[in-house]
Amino acid sequence: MGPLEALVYSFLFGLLHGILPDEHTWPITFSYAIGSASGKEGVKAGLYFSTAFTVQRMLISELAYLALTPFLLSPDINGIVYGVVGLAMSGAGLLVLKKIGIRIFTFSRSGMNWQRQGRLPQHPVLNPLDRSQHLHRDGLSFMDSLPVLASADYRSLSTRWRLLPCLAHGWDSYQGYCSDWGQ
Amino acid sequence: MIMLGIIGGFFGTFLRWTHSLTPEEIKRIGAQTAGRTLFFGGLLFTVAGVGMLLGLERYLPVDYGYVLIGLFMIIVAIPALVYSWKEVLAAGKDKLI
Repeated sequence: MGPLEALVYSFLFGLLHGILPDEHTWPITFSYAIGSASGKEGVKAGLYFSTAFTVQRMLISELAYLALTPFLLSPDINGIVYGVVGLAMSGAGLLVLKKIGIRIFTFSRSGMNWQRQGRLPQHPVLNPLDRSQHLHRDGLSFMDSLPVLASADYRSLSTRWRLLPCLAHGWDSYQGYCSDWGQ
Repeated sequence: MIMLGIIGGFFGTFLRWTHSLTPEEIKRIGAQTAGRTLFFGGLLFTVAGVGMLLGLERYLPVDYGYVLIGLFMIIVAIPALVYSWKEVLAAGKDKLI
């Protein structure tokens, strides 16, 4: 098989693997894509995840070349990676829920209670003429969003809603990077 | 990468196909589903990691990863979507009353 043929076969296998449910394919990007509530942002969610994943795959190929394969393929390392990926996911989930004012659990004197918030916070109505309301649509990146998170403006619920997709893409990339270490 | 982009686009537009929802409701359902799926899915992954460290995969007749992702979809992702959908619709009805 020539290099070009190998490349075509790899591409086709890649497409097939992308359709199959796996811990580093669409079931994981589902939450980021559906959270974006738009086709364009959904595509971005998939691309961010797979880009971080590809970077990780390049690194692991180099580590495999350096004869670390037996260590990296041990079930114990897999278990630890699953745990780290799980914590990354839960952290992202808690952050998303906190931003939109949904509490998963609260602390009280009787201990930790799982609780659903009685009334949902109202989503602010976006004014199409107000440029300041379009931080995300105007291309605010994850890194750009960090100073805004630290600012007083972040206290406003409407700002939190606008920052949500930027944060999601950051976590999406982070999880994409983490998720393949167990493979 | 290409397939994840295509499937991501599909999931992103999925809620827009239901014309009975307003754009705000779609965003809210999407964000809540995402948050719940990530949070509870993350807990499931962490438990699976502990299970793997304890050697549970030896006792499963099928691949551990497939079982995990099957459980992820059945007990986390789909219920999170249904729950968030119902919650947002109920909140909308409360607002009308």
